[in-house]
Amino acid sequence: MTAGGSTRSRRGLLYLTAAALAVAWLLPGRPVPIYDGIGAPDEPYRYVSVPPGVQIRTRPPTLAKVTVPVERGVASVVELFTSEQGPQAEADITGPSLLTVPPASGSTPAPRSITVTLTPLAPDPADPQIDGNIYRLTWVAGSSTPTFHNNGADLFYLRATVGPPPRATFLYRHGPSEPWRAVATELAGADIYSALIQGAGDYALTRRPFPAAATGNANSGTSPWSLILVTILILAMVGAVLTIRLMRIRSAT
Amino acid sequence: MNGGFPPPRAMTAPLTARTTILLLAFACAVCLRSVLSGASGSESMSAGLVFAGCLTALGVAAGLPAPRRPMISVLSGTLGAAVLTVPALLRADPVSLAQRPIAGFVPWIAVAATVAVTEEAFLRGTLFGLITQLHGEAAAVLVSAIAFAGLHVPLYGWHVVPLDIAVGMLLAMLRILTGNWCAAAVAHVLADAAGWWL
Repeated sequence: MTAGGSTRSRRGLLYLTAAALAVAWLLPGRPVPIYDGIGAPDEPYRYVSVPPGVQIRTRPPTLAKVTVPVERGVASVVELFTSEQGPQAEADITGPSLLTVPPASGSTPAPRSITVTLTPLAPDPADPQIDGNIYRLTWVAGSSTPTFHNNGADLFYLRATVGPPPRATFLYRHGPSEPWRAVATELAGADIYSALIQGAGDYALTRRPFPAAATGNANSGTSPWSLILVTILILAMVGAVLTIRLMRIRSAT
Repeated sequence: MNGGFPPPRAMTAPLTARTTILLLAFACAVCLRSVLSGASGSESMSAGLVFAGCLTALGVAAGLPAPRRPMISVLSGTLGAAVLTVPALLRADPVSLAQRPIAGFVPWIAVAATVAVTEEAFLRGTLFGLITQLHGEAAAVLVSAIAFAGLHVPLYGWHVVPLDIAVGMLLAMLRILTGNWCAAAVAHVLADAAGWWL
């Protein structure tokens, strides 16, 4: 490659890099760029209504809202999360299961989009001891209500007000007048819990024992498969280091 | 630079083999970190340090270029970090910025900087040098950027890929423009440090 060609090539790479950065920053996504593998600590929990005895002053919690197009009666992938660092609530509705909407009937055209919303609410004094806010998941498609078909992989995430222990349990109710029920809960991070999306309705965390609480077994212990996998990966690493070293020695001689 | 002629196959075969093994071992290191992190994800500092150890061992075994031109690296790296952090700063919440505790910053940045420097030494040092010899700078920029994005996927999910590829390309351009990987390391560490508040 000539010097002029090299300069042109580098200039082209520089333009490509600037374009890639501009596109990446313009894409909707989490508000904070993540460059490295050590997660920055979360900002203090934002309450809708700060509980008695908690000394904290924050901005109000954010709601999340996303409108997704409907194709052949099915909405595409929906991922929405609130804008705190890190998000206090997130709903990932993926795959083909999704939200189907009623077809056109008579003079009513079929909806072209679905709007999914996550709204933070303050717990009612009558509620069980809830850790943080209640998050209400709703979806609408024009004047109709879409139907949800859980494919077993659609998850709701909530960040607890502080990290464990004690572990928290997910609570769900279809509407404000219905009772809370516990749902199988997984620990998805130091202070993040996940549960299968049950449908539209209210989601919250509690740290108190709850009747019929069914919790997942994430982090309940190290499985033997994990140990075997770690051993294999360490051996592969050692093998790679030795092989590369030997190759360099041979090429030098 | 080789005057426009590709290097003879007898010369490139060992380099190709070494690069392939290096990339496979890098994938193993990413998997190892992911398994060790478990539910803690990116918050597992011990898994981050194990990952840094793996990258250091691989980089040194494959021939890590020595750091050079410290002043140029620091100045270019600082400029690179400014480019990376200004958009986030513009979107940051001032109240949250003011409330971020300073107490845990020192141990956190010590680990984050260790991981960042080893990532840059491996990706923009060792790997970049090998791929440049084999296929040129453009390939080195793209492969190192894709590897950079790929290592973050198990920790954060697929949504970080566009941003991390773009950031990886910027760090690779710093490597090209300054002639060594240290500027990329400085930019990476400063951007991570700013991430505490952003």
